[in-house]
Amino acid sequence: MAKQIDRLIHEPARLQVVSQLFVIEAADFLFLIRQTGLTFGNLSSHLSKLENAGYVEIKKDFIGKKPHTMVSLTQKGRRAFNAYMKAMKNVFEGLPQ
Amino acid sequence: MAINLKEIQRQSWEQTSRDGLMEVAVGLVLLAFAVVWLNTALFVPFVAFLPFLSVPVMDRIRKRYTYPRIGRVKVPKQDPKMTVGIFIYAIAALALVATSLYFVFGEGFTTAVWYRSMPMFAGLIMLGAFTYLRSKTGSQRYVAFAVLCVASAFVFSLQDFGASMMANLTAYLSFIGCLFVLIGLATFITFVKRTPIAGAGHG
Repeated sequence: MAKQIDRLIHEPARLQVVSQLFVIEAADFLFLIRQTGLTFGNLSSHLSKLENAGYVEIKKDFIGKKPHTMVSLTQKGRRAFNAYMKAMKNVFEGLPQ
Repeated sequence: MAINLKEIQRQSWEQTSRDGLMEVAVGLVLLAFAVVWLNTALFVPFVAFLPFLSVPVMDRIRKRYTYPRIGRVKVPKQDPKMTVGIFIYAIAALALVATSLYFVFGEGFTTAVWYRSMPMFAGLIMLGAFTYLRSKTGSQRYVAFAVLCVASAFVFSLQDFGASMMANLTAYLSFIGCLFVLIGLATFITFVKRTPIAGAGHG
């Protein structure tokens, strides 16, 4: 059972980030900070882990002269989150009320 | 920590329209339509070039004022099925207006009555658009906009603004357009004043 739960997504802060990215196409750092309540450093660290796993794509460009980073969930990330939701549903299924 | 995907999605949509620029854009488009109705030769080039003109301008303003304050979010692209839905809704709105007029006027239902009642059709289209936005954002202001559009459409349909076939529709679009531009500008100014620019390094 525990093997079915993706620990990378299961961590509360990352779960918040992935949930946010799941319902949109893409967002920048500022938007994610405001929506999740994470600090810049914290968010950056969690996104690096998700990027290394291939769950998120990070694109860097410029708005005027300022650097700007857009983050989106990859297809692999979407599949992983769908599987995570299914696994979590199964965990509690059949429990007495 | 509760994860409610629908609520997260609703909040994301709500953020995309917080700056009031959508209302300004809608208002300007309605005003432009009002001008175009007066000169039908402009209609086709206007509709063709509208997206090419409005999108980059909106994006430039948002890059300067909105994104540094609340960040940038891209909501999922419109479902292709929705275009069909909009078309069906427009046909249904047209049929509803025609049927209602027929029941009210009976034999007196002439083309003059039809043209005079065109604001009702436009009002129903606006009702559909704002109902959709209300469902996506959960914002009550779209309910107010929908009520405003339908109520004023009804009032404008009862008036006689002149001999021109599109006079009532032009007057209605001018009124609603001006109103949305003013509401949008007021929202935008309030947004800029109340929402500070985020610290450096948050891009």
